[in-house]
Amino acid sequence: MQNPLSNLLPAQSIYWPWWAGALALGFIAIFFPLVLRRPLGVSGLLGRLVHWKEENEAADAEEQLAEAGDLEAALMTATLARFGDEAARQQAVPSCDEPATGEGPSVRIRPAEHFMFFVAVLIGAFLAALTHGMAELRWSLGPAFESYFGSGALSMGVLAAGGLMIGFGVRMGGGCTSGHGLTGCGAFQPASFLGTASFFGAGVAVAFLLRGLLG
Amino acid sequence: MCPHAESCELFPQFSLKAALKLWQIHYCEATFEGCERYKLSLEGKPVPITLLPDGTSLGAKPAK
Repeated sequence: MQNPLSNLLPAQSIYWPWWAGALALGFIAIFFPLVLRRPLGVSGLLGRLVHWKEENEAADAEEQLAEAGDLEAALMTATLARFGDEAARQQAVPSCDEPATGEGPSVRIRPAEHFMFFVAVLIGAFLAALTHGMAELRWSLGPAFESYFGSGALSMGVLAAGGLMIGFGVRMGGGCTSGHGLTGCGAFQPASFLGTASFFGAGVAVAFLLRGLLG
Repeated sequence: MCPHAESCELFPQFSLKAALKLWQIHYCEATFEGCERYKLSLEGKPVPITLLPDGTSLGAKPAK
């Protein structure tokens, strides 16, 4: 069957054109924080999905608070209960600080919606592969990978170990390519520039190391 | 200063009134390691906006 997108794709390339990816990623990097008032980060969303029970409890608690009314009033009641006279004395003192930015608290997303996000990611990846004739289940990252690790049990083990190491790294670094690279760098966050430089730099270094060690 | 202050949903709320700033003085700027929000965040768990630094919950009745 003729690929309907073949005319849009560059010849001799297995990838979609760079500008299509840039437009899609740029759109979601801007749209996601605007709507949900929280940065996009796939590993963070996955973490929330793992903690679905706590996420639901947090969402329930926030809904109850919203129903009860004013957050500031509830905070003041809790402050008086916690700090007693010290807080009562401060009540008459106006704050010297600038008022809060006006941005409301971020929208808490229910785990079911996180799940839909990941389903959408999988569907999008599948459709992208399908339109390019690359949709197949395989345990290899390509010929170079197979030359190092084959395509059997060792290959699966290496991929699983790599996935675990990536998971450990993104939790330790507080974000992944989407959180730091896409959202954090887009917001000029110094930590995200450092994080992105670290994991891309480490990737290049490991690639050179493997090439040197394994030929 | 608490390294999670920038991402904490309650931190900006604590700037709204002088009395509320006591939370910042006692926790965010002092012993943030003892803040229950900070500890929960370190575990990678969701931190509800209703959870206060001392572990009590907004809306919950204070212990007598």
